[in-house]
Amino acid sequence: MRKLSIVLVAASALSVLLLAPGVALANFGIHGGYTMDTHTCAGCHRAHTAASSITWTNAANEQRSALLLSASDELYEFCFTCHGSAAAGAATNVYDGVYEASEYGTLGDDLNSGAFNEDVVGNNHHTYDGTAETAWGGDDEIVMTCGSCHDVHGSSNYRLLKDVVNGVDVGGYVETADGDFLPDPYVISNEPGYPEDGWLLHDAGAAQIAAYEPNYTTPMYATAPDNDPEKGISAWCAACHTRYHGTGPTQYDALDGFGDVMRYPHPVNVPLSNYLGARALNISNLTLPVAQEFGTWTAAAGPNDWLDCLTCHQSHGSDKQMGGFASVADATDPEPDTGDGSVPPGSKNAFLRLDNRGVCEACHNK
Amino acid sequence: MNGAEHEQHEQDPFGPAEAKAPWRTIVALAAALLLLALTLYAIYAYNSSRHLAAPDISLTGLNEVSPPEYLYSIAGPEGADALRDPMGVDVSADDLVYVTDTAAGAVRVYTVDGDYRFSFFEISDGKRKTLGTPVYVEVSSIGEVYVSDRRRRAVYVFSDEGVYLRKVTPADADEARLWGPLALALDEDDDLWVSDVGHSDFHQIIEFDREGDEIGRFGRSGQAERVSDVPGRFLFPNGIVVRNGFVYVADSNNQRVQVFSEDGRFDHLVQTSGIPRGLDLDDQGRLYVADALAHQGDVYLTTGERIASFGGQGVGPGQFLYTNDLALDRRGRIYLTDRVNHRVQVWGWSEPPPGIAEVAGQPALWPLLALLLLPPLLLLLRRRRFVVTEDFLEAMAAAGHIDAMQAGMRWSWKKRRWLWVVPAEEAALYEGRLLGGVALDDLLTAWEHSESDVLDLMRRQELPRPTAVLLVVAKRAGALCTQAPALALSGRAVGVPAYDARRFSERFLESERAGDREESREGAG
Repeated sequence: MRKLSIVLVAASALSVLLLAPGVALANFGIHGGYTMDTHTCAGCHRAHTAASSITWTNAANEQRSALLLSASDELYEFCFTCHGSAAAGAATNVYDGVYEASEYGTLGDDLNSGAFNEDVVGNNHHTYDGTAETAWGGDDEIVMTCGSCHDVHGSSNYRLLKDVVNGVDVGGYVETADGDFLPDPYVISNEPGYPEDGWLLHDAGAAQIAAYEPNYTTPMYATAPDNDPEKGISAWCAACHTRYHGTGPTQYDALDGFGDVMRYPHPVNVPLSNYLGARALNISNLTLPVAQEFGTWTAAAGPNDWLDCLTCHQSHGSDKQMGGFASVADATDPEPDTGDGSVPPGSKNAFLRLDNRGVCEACHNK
Repeated sequence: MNGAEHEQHEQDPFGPAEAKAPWRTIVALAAALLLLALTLYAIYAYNSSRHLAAPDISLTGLNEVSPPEYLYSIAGPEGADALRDPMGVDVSADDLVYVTDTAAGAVRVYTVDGDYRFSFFEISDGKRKTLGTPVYVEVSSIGEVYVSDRRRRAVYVFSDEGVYLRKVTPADADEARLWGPLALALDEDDDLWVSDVGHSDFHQIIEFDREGDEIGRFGRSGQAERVSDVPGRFLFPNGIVVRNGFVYVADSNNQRVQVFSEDGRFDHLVQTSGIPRGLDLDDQGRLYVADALAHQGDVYLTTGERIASFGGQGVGPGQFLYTNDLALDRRGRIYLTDRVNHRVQVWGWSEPPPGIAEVAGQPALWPLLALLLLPPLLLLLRRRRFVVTEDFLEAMAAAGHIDAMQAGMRWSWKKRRWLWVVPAEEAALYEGRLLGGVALDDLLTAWEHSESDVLDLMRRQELPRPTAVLLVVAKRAGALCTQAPALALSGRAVGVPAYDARRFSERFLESERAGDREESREGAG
């Protein structure tokens, strides 16, 4: 018994040493993986006395108070407090489109999503200042803020992409019979440790994050969950750009001067091998990011990889240069695509990843 | 009990009572296992939650004093040199205000009255010619201006007139390429303290001497779900101030200020609201915090009590939109960058602020751990207790073991101490007696008995009262020492092991001597 007592005392003393704090980094940082007794809510919100007029967009596309501490009118100012040029609270300098750390990407490289800073990308960025706009290929006028696309608290999708956009379900959680909520994502990733089934809620999600190694400077996109062509990033984008991801052409006025005529979109969410032109697609040295089946990512593209929106476009903004026919027309130009009708070309680049129409040539090799 | 066992007990009433009470061993083992399990669970639970005892923080003192008042703002001039994105601020000993403008990639310099003097941004470190994204600024006691540049991954040092002097980076070339300097502080010796957020897993504080050589570093990354989680770990530390042997670190994304000794040992926490960024301390030891999301400045005692808040959200005078850094001048005025309002605000106390309390150490884990250690320690220190009869004492004295009985009462690493007990009713029997040269008053301890237990035992076992008293006390002590076989048998009948002098010697004294002999042999070998 005495020996046992000594062992117990030694074990207890050892416990003093073992009670050192454990590793706790969560790559989502402040953006999720919350425990039930978290205090982090209070860092940004006031439940009853919030003075901020900043809103969030609910599932019915309505604006509701975000109950924020901040009083600024613009959500982006709130976000740029951490994700601005100084990147004072994040490794991702979203404003300038630069990755500012070394662990989950290449320090100093461009973010996969591009930039917002007009000194870098001009006006070639998604609107983020709260202006209401109608998306190309869409119908609804949408208030565009950071929160239009991202759920700051986490979601079932890759990169905090919202589960409901413009009133359209593009992810979310399904309640099981025993009361659990299982993710039903639209967008997943091939980054190491990414959970194929999407992000779980609460502690389980925090545990997933511990194994996750995002890459903010090398796109490692995945095809849709279960290779469902009705999901994936293209379907997610189509929540606003509704006519860009469909089964065929649709008739509408694209505000490009051609009027209300049939419009034929480039296919998305399709394997590259679907192309049956006279000359095969040139994908042996493809520099554009394609979506690869979950768990099979390699640096080189293959015939089964999908082309989706992010293959050609950057989601935040692009600094690529357009000229001549490549300039996107101003919507008021009576002679679209030329700039000859007294209205100059819009000089927008549609957030394309390569100058002019390099994205076309990258695959089609004409 | 079968017939053979009964016969054996008839023949030998002495000896341990294990056969009659194996449950005691089982219970002891179960208790030990339970304790061990609880200890392991405590380790698991703590490591899971990374939770320390909550800090003793009171906000009741908030604004019991008049908070600082808004005085004026610094913004100008119009045009290219206008402040766009002021992030960091410091005030030199000769009353110049240095402000980093991250968007402009420059440092703007003003008088404390707000008159614009000049800007600087040129560097010549062999690779770059201009600042990239200057974030924080600190002015040394000799007027050198230190500027952290996250994009350029260096701390640049300028003269007070903005002439580039040198840069500070870690000595290791790979680390210098990858680190991310953010917050700055200079201590009384002008040693430079820098927060490094370049690696997502290793947010840390690095100290350099005046020559730029590293002195030390501490910390790594960690997310605190609760304010007291993961002390010593940071998530984007944006403010440092070093004073009086303590290092105050604004652990911004964990929404707290952590306080360390200068060698990096965690001392205590100050809970803040919103996102604490810039820090400073006044000569009274009051801690000033710029809170970026609460749009205000807060003043704390270093014990953690918030005594004043000032500012608030908005675009008017005295209102902030995302303040980021603050500094004090030698008059005690408070300068705060007001980032989205593109200005620096100057505040001052309208009346002398209250004094400070002593810095208190943080009550933390040790009381809890002490509680955990207490049960096994008590078990270890618990004495083995024997109820003795007069005849046993005389037999031990005759055998020359009475000294060993007395020696056994003293502390030893080798065995548990002994306690010799007699019923209080019989204590008078031993008063003033010497046995083998030992005073029995010193040897024996008198215990009271439970009268109800005695009556119950008398009724159940049909025992005379003195025997019942003895057995009740023996049952409580756990062992009986007697030379009387009948008494020993009665003891065993109620689950008390009994020993006569011979068996006691064999059981306890011989094993001890054998241990001593073994140790002697090992020593000789």
